[in-house]
Amino acid sequence: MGSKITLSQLAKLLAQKKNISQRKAEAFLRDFFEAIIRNVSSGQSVKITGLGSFRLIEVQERESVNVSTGERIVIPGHTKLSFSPDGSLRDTINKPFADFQTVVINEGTSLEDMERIDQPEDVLPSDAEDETEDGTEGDDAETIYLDPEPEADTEPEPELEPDPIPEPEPEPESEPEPEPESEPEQEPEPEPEPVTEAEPEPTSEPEPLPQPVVKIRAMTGAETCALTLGVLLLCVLSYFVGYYRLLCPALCHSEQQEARTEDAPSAARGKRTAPTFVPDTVPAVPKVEESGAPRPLLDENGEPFAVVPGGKYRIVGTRKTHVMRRGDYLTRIALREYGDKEFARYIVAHNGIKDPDNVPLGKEIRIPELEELPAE
Amino acid sequence: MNNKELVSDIANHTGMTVKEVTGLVSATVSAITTELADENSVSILGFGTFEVRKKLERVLINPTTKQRMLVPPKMVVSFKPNTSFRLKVKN
Repeated sequence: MGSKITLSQLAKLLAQKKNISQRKAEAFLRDFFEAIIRNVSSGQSVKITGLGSFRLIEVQERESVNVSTGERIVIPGHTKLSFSPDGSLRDTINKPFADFQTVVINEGTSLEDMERIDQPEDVLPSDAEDETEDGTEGDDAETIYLDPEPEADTEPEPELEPDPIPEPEPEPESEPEPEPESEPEQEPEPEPEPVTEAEPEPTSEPEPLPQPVVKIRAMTGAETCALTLGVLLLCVLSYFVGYYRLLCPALCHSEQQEARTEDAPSAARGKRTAPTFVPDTVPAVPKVEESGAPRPLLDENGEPFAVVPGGKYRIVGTRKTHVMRRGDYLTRIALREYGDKEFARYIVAHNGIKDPDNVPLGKEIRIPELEELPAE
Repeated sequence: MNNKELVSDIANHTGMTVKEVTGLVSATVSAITTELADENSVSILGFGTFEVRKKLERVLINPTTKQRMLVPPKMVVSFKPNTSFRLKVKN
């Protein structure tokens, strides 16, 4: 396959075939080809059975342009050799493709698919179409497969709604703490966003799933295109939702802090007044204890611990401190401390870090002690 | 000039019998054919190179009927004469 056979190799083969010495075979081959050259040069055409015919072709003189100088030159007429293989040789060589036949193409058949495929094996246009269809189906499968990830990412999202809602709900008048008030105050801003962003997912998610199942056969190029686009859009959307979640704690926390400094006096007042109301409210709404549980916990400065919206845990204290070194990432610390990098949110919230991606070197951060919130 | 004439010409020049030469010529041709069928190229010094080329499928349009035909791919034998052979032939 693809190797080059020289005269000596050919002589070897010939010697084996005719049981003669290699020298004799080589001498014969030289004579054989010399005879062809001699006869062709004398102007005759030479026909060899089983190989083909060598013929001389007259080439008319023609005008041409010298590429480098641009001059017009005349190429004088000459003769050149042409070789046309014998029918039997042609058939033997073309054996791998002997089954193919010239086909008349029906009108309206698009040749775009065919031209893209360089493989000579795919002759039939139907074959080519099948292939492209398979390709798009594969694409769909891939993009659909991607979906579960963003889904898993946004899974905790719904918890964001129920969490803040019970806080203000159980009798906001009886618990005039600034915490629940200030929280809903800022949270409504970010809250509607995730809600509206998260909502299209469940509604639009089922759409692409049944579609490929039902329409896989009847899918046209435009439909597959639209479908792929839709799935892609979904991916992008979920990506932003996920990204938002990462930013959210810091955002919420910083806003919370600002709000706290502003409402400091009222907050203090609220806290002091709270216990007086609690006895009334506790028997009435026992739920307050659970949902409002993070509030009574205070840190060393007398301030309540940060709450991570949507978190399943609450911060109950500081486990230890860590000095940020080069190469430290909050996610890596979280992975080491809690076994999951998702817990970086709690570290961010506990330390009031504004930019989790850029914590200054040497900053001492507190690793929070976490307690699982009772399931609601 | 056909096969027979070539064989007798070779026989005249080498002093071998026509029968001998006929057998050798056919053996040579079959050897070349099997090598070409294996997609090997056969190059003979001072003569030229036989090689197998793959031709891709193409669309052909009948100019009178405007009918489009899909021509399948095929393998063809091509022969490229050596420079010395070509120059000999040229004039």
